[in-house]
Amino acid sequence: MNDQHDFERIVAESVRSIGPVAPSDGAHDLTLDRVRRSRQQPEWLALIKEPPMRTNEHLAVGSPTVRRMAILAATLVLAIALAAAGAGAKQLLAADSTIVVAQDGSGDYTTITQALEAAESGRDIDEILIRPGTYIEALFIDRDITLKGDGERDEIIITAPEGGPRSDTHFSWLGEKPYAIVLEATEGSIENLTFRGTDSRLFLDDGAPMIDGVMFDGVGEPAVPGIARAQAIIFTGRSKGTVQDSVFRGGGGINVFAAAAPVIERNQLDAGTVIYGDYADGTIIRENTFTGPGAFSIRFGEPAEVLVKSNEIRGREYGIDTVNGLGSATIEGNTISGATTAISADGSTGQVIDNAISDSVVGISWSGEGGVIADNTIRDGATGIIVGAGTVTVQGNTVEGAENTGMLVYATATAELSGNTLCGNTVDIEIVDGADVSDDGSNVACDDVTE
Amino acid sequence: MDRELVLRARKGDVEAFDQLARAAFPRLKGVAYLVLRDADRAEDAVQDGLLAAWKGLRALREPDAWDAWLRRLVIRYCYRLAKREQRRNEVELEATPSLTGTGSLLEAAVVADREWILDELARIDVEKRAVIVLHYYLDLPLREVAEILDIPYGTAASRLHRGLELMRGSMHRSLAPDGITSQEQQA
Repeated sequence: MNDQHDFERIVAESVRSIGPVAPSDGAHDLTLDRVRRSRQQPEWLALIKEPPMRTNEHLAVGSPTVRRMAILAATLVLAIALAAAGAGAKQLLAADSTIVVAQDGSGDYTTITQALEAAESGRDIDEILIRPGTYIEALFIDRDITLKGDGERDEIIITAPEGGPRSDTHFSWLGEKPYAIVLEATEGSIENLTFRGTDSRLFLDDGAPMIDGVMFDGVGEPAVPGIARAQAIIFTGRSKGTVQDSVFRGGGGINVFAAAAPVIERNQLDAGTVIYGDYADGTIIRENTFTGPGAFSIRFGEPAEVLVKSNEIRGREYGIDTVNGLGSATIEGNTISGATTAISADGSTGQVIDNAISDSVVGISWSGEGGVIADNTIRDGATGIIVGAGTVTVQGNTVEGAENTGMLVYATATAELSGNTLCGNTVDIEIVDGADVSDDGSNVACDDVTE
Repeated sequence: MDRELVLRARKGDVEAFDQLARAAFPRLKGVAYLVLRDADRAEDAVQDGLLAAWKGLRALREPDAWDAWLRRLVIRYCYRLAKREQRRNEVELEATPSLTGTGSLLEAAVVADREWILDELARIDVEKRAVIVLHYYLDLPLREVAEILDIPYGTAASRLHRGLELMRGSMHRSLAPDGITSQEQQA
């Protein structure tokens, strides 16, 4: 996972290293000379000919909208003339690459399936705007196209048909599951829609699609302890897509399978919805909010190099959980409260750093080889850090107010303890006989701190 | 960007336009250079973009949009120049399926120098390259990049993702003996 992160950083640094590039001698003068010899176009001509530009808040002359209006007006005039001459104006009006689907007949089509068929038939369509309505359809999309809700998200609903087609979850034990949409090897996007109903799943198979601002309402199956179940979104087949700013409630969350490596960020996952992955090296999960209740929140199994960063998790039994993880997860900067076990790293060689954990029975449970638990803050739980097995460096952490033990190292573990601060715990450090622990003397109990 | 200068230039004040052009030129040339990887052609693209800006300035109702508008013009001329030279732009790298395994790109991270990165950048198609340049060089949010390029946000995001993936894949193959990835070796 760090590979991907590092690579992105290196590309950014390399590109930025170019800096501003000074013009060659005389370049300015040449430009100015050309400018002086050129006349500014009248506004009306620029409206038609000059480059479109849109701004977020203003409708500039030359914006796509205004340009379209101008072109539309001109087209209308032409269409009327052609209609008068008996020619079909309809095809001329259909030249835009955006088409509209509206159940009430006010758009180009009344179903999304029809719109996609139009795209398949060779029309140059890159965006389908969908107006309010409930669209009971199962869509298989293998082209780069945007499906975008045009109106209030809650009123634009996609629902899988009863007894509709199924898609394979590839390399998972979940088998085939019904779906509302499959995006197959595309770089398309889905924006501002609501998926509703258990079977209305979204499969993202290969490609790099973008899911932005979508509501998943009762889609997929809520996870239960130890069983993933098919969630609302299922990444399979090396998909590198992105899910962002979306909401999951009342059903499932996201599965990541089969070497997929998505970016999942800024989503809201309500009770029971989870992010669950297997063999998903390179996945990034950041800045999501999980609210309880629920069995777990973020869980990755098998070799997985994932980055789990800056998520907020409240009221789940498990916060962040890696199981059988022979990879190196980085669990960084997360805020977790009210968990039974906030962070459990089983088999990981990664790092658990800079997390803030409170009111959780166990703060961090470690049983991996060669990792680091550093700079975490754990308050008001039963046990702060448990090193159950394996080898780990525990440094710079603060554990306060543990009812039982601040740090507990079991006999099967090897731990280096350094620079930790332990305050107000019933027992600060407990080392079970047989544990291999080195303490460099820099660990501080609050009682030892001198003002 | 001086709003007053834009307003004056829009009324035909060449001196005001000259000030705007001088201020914008180095950064725009950086953009064009990264997209085209050729200093001369980059300068041509900037000059053509500035000239088009001058001619069409009266169409720009909102002076605050000047920077984005000018970038868009320059990128447009970059596209035009790049597509004239199909040889470079037709190179579509093959993405390495997955870069699993410790060390693969960390090796790349260690070994990579900037020229190599920039060479790889030059090998991906111009549409993806433009997104990477605008996003990283000008530090623009993807939403703004999408607006400048007049493409949907999702397309900008996927071009960025795909572009990086292509570069990674190519570099990864270069690191492996005989151009074979560790995964392929295992297979």
